[in-house]
Amino acid sequence: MRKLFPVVMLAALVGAWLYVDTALEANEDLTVIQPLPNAAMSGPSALDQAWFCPTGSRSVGGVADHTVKISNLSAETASTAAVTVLTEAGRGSSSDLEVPPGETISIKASDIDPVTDEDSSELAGLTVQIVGGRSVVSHSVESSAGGCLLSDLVFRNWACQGRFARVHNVDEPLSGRCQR
Amino acid sequence: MSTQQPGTINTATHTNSADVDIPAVVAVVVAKDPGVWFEDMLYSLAEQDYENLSVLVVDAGSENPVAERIAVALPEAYIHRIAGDPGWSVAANQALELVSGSPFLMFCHDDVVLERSCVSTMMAELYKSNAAVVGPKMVEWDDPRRILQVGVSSDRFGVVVEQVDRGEFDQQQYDSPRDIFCVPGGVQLVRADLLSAIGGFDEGISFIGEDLDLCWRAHAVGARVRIVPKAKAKHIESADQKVTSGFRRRLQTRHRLRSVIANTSGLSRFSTIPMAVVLIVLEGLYALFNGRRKHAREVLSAIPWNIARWGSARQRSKQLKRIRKLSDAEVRRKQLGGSAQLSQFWREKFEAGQSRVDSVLTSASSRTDSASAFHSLIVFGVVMVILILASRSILTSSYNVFGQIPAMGNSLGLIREWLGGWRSAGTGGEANAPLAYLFLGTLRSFFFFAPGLFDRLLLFGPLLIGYWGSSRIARPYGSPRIGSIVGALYVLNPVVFSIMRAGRWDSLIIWCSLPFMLTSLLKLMNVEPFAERQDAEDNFFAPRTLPVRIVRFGFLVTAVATFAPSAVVVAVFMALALMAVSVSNVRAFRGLFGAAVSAVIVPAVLLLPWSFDVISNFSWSWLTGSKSSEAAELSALDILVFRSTDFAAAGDVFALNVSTQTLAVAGAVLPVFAFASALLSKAKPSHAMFSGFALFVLTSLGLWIESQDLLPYDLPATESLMAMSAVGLLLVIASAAGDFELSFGRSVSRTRYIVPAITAVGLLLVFSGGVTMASSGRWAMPETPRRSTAEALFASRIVDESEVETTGRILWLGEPSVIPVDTYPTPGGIEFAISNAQVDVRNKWVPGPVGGGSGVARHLDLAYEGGTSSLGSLIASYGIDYVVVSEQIARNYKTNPVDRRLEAALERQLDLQLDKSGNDDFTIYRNIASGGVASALANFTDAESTTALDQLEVDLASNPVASREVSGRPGRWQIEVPEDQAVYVALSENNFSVGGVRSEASVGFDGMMVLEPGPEGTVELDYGFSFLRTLSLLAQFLLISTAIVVAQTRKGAER
Repeated sequence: MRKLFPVVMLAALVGAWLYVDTALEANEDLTVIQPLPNAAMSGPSALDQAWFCPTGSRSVGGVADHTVKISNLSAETASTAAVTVLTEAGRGSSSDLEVPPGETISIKASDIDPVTDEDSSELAGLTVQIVGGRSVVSHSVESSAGGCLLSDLVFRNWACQGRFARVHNVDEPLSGRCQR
Repeated sequence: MSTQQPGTINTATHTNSADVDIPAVVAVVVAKDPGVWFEDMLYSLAEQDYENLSVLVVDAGSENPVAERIAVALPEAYIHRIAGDPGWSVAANQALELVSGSPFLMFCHDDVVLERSCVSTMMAELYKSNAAVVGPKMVEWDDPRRILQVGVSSDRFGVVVEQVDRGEFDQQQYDSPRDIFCVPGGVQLVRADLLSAIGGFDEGISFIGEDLDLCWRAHAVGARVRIVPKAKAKHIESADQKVTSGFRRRLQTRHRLRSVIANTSGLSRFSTIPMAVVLIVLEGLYALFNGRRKHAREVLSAIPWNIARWGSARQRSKQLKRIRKLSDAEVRRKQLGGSAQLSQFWREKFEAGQSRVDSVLTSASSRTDSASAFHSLIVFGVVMVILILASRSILTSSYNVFGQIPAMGNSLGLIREWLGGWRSAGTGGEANAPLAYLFLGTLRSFFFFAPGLFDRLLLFGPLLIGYWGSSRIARPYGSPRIGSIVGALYVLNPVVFSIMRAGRWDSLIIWCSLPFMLTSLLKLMNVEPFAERQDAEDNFFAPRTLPVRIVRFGFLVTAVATFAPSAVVVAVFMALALMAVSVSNVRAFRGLFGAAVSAVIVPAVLLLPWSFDVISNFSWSWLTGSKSSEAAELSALDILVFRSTDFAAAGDVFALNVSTQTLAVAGAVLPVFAFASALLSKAKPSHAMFSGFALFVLTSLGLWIESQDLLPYDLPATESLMAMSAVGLLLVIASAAGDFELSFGRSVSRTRYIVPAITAVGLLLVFSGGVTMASSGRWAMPETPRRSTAEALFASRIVDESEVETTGRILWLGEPSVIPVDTYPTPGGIEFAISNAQVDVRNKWVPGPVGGGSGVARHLDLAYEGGTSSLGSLIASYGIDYVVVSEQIARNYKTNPVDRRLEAALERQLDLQLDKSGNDDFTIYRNIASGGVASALANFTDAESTTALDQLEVDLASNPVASREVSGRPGRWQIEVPEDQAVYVALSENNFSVGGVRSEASVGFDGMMVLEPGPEGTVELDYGFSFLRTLSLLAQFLLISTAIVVAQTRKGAER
């Protein structure tokens, strides 16, 4: 019997291990909450940044004239902003703007790519890509009756897939968390 | 006492008759305490039919003076006695002073007997051929029908090589006189003037080697050395009886090195002398590893001995230089090429290898009863049938590799990639290719008639090796039946199914090598019945020293790690697990510790220079390898029954006909057998059995702890560790079953009948599991792997007439297990890889970023952190056309989702366009900012872009340029350049030669190449062959050769 002792002990240990494993499994919390990705503004080391601004009209003097305002927060270097119009037809015209240090400029969608006979889609989104420096982008719709600042509906978390621009999270402001 | 005493011998007075002008010959016999044969020797001289022969006997300090014996046997001989023992050469050189007027001297040992016509025949030939040194055929003393020597040859290092097999029957087959490099010292007939000119025998050489030295010098002065086989002399070789083999070896080594120093000249001495020293050092090291320290001392002592006598050797060299007629190269042409010592050594090793194969082939059936052999044959047959059925589609129909299975490309290209130092992986660049490329490329070349067969064997071959290795665990127990049973348990284990189904080739290699590693470690531990056996004919039990065993283990790990680098971690784990049960056995503990160290050091050294890349880019996750894409969360029960993947999922998808539960049951057989056999065994549990249990317990525990997320670092792939657990249990079964078979014949208990019945039932369960595995005919592998989908990305690209066909690259993102190429992490931890359009084996075994890989990693991290929305523009600089996100290894396989934040980061990029034109195998982004590998630059200032910010402004997409990599020529590109435009080429500008219509290139963004503006046409880019790489490969060859030699050595083996 003495010679069997180690083998019996080993078998008992394996049995105990199976029991512990089963007990641990039973107590395991099945809901694992993964931290959600944070869509906060990138820091000053960012190479370039892009914003998607939905959506307003692009005809001159339209009902909701879509305008973006770009502020360069840097006190020393100018930044370059590429503003592109997105319509139902896809990417429209684009305009490169230089934003001097510490200044804010604004531009309307109708200034870049107004409604034409060939492309009559009234609604237009805008993308703003800024290379270099730290900047803030806000956009607004304006009409003869007044204007509305839409600064809390400016997103960086977006994608341009084929003809359509897709916003990941319409309900969440810039500083919020992105959920899918 | 009528013998003549010292004085000058004037041979003129000995001309027999005035009318016969026969040249005088003086036979110089150097005698030193000669044996009873001495009188015979003298009589043979007296009876020579040569009429003008005198005899001078130089008594070199014999304890019993020989004068009286000479007076009786040859009274007319002259005697000259020297006090003390000055050595043979000094004694022989006395003739130069004592003899005058004789044009020929014949130097004889005191233990030869010359045939009556010996001298006359030699003289006739000497005159006929105008030779300076001649000698007779030497035959055995006791049986003159057997030949001893017909001259000898030598290599440039002074190593003597016999011209005939000693003891060969003399059938006059060698009787034509011919030129030879050296006439052996037993009888040498020499022209006296030549002897005097070359300074006589080298007095620094007491005896052994003086004959070679003399002939070497004779050749150097343009003299002819010939053997005259029709002249015969018997030789007793009494010197062999007077000195030990060790003393003889010591003198041989010393004197041959001295001859090399004294007789080589010019520039060649700067190569020949160091090489001769290296050979001596290698011989010494070899002896040391064999545990023959005395042998090592004997040969290594030649070096200090010669250093101490350097002056006299150089003096002889200078003396020779003054009269030298032939250059060293001309003399060398008369010698043997290469190293005779190495040639002989390898010949011996080859013969040893042959006998080893014989022992493997014959041992299974020769030592056992016929019933055992018959049972083993049945089990083996069933296993083979199951394996063939399970692989039938792979073996017979079209077969697409996937997962980790190497996708073979151009064999010659692979070999060139290994040789040249250019790696096609990543963005292409200077890096060291693994040795695996050489092996795979070379072996596949042999299958030129059916390369597909080789690709199939890459998968099927390891299964057979695994069976052989596992049945070998039972070999010391002497029962083929046990061997075949443990083989079946191992090969039909469900872990094999998990490995094959997920294309885990690396794990398959480790799986098939683990039984060999275990036996190697058990032999190293010297535990019964794996301990060495003195005088064992079977190589399995060959006695070897501990250092040799440690090197052997390291060598085995190296061989496996060449193909599966995680073998290093697995081997260390195995050695440490066995150490846990060897604490009380100091020898075993020490050996296992050495083995653990050796498993790291030996591969690191032998796989240089590739291992240098591994170390300099060290990543633990890369070394341990990826987990299986199909890995399931493991419970303790899963670990016990070897269920690493969800068998049911495979069953649903691939319509396995038999319930997949049989797999789990088959997996349970192994632990049940192990515990049952240990309980039923009558003997006390052995060290081997404890070792087996230790492997099982510690490996299972490790897997379980990892599954509970309690380990800070990843372990190697689950299947590899499960395989280790399985071999542990096999050892337990073999150990217990071996004991049972021993006591089987004597047993009268019911156990005698129960155990075979239980074994048969267990085997049936295992076979039924095997049938489940075999039901799909392809191990439930996918029929259309995703690798081909990725390759089709470029192939399906529609090119308009206005467009140029460009070459581009793919950036792979996702879990390492689902990407068909080797990934490595960015500093931020994103796993990525870059490949070109051909996703093949050239992207395997890539330990770190190649070429611009580091730059891509930086940009990926930047995008991930939200620092850019122009990732496409940034990675366009590296020629990346597509970003492919992979989540599954194949359709219907488990989804391994990528980090959602990474996915969001990709979607944010303005210049990456989701490609919906292909298929849903991957998420594919097309890089609209890329122009492929080469693009013409619109502005001259674009070439000066050095920062990422600058590079964003560079338009690479608008002017793509046609480019192609020359097939099978790594590092060779052809670029069609437009007129007067600089061309950006996404290749690291390093060691490239630029030919064709452009000749200059400058460094662009991140080290990439910019071709200067020039005429339109084709530019040839060719990566230069690196001299450093060649040197390092040569060093690797030497290291591996040395390791092979060391690994083959037996304890105390003489050679």
